[in-house]
Amino acid sequence: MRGGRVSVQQIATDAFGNALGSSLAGGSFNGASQNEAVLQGAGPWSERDYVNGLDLQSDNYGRPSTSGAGWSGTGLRMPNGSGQPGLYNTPAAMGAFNDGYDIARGERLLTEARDCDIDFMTTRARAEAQASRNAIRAKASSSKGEYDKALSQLSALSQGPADRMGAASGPTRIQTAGNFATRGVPSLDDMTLSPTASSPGNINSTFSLNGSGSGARPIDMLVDTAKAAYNDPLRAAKNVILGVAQGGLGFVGDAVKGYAMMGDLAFNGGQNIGAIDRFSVRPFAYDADMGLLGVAGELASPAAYFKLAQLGGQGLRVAAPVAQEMWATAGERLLAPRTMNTQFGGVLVGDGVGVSSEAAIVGYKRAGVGREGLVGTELKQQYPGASVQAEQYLRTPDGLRALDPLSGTGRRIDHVVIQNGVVVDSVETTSMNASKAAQIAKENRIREQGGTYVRDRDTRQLLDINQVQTRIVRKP
Amino acid sequence: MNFIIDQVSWHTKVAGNLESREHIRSRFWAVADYLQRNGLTTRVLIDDSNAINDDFCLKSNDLTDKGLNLMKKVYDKWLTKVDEGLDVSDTTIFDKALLKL
Repeated sequence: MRGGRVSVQQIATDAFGNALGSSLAGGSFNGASQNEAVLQGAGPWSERDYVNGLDLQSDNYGRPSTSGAGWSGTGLRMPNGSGQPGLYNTPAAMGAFNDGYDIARGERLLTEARDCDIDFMTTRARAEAQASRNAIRAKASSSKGEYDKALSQLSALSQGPADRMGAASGPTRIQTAGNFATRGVPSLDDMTLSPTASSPGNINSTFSLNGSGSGARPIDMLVDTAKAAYNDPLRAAKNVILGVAQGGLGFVGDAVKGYAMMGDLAFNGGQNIGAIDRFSVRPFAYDADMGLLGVAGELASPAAYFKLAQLGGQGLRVAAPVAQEMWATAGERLLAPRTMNTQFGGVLVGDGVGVSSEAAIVGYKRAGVGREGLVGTELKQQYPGASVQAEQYLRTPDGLRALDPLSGTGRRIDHVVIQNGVVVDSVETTSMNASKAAQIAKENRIREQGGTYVRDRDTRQLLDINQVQTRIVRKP
Repeated sequence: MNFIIDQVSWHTKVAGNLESREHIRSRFWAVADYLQRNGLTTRVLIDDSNAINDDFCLKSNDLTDKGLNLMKKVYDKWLTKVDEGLDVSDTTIFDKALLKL
């Protein structure tokens, strides 16, 4: 925590005010001094070098000192009751003035020194933490066991002082940047806290959640969903029924996904995380604002109970890390801006076969989401006032999800930027070295077939993205 | 329905794509050559890897039914493997799928 500076000007003014008060207390103010010889001006008024009496008095003004030796000239000053210059005759007042000045200067020096100290410590701690993270991440890719170890180490690092200290920038240098919801994913900068603009410098002020989305969060959507369900019970029932049906199909999908992912992870050290979507067998698309009811339906289905029972059969040793990830992920998604992936299915309930691999997948996926969150934040800064929307499907002119004629699958773009009803940017986020040939080919095949639209989540309108080429942004 | 399966310019013109032009050309040559050698094309697509330029593309109607089926089954998967580091000359995945067709 930083700050607590004392304004030099404020202290000096207080000291001077005290001195002035002391001097006035010593006598009464009688207006102009009667004992002073009145100084006359020199030269006719119309002359350029004319000086009047006040000018001469100002020229004779001298610096004050605690010994009373100051105020050597006639100067401008307040007289006291005995006809002597007031400030000139009050060494105690001058002492108070100088004491105040010294205190203020000392406070300032102390504050500056402390800030420098904090800057140094923060920079060093950050550098050390980053070096540790890089080393841990490099090691994590070697095996599943190393990955699990790395996850806990990164989580511990994110709780370190370097992450709690804010960036040493801005007018106040009082910031708390806490990855309060991201835990092991420190790169999720859009979820850190910073003082609101309306109350800079006040450590106790209200903090705002920085978000790369337009503000709506799943927790807000929960409220909206409840309202929508109340207003449209038939629609709500439909989604619950869909959820129950999905419970069964999701079970099959999860099992397939679990086996496939375990194979992938075993053979390539967990590098093939992008395949998660390929193995996700989830045929129903819920209405956008009714997804939570669908999830409720899935959890209420008999298949969900079977899955839970199977999970219990695997023992707590397996279940605990999965549960931890499940809760963390659910919490993040509730608190995160809506640029986060808000699909709940597949992480809330894991079947016994795929639990450990799914935990790893969730972890990797979270790292990817962190990278995308960072880019989302940067896009918000790059396009002030624009709507940065994540995970946008390419759609046909009639709004349906456009499918690749070769693979039969759809294509989601990480971020599109919409400004004044026009798509102005399209961004795919990836790591520093990943190749994207498969994705590039797929997107272009879809676009060639007319899948050049995205749906603006704010206005629900379909917007043509034909003129905007998707670019690749790389982040560590 | 005729459609372009892949085109060189799609890859060379993407901002931020790290894949070199040479690698892209090698990749397209590997696939075109494989399809031609196995009689899966309806015409000669290309006979010299140096002739592959930005305009070169693989179209669905350049392929026999079997060739198109093969591409639907494995091209995306093979490309993903190449993204992950598979050598472009390794067409084992095509061979295996072709045997099952």
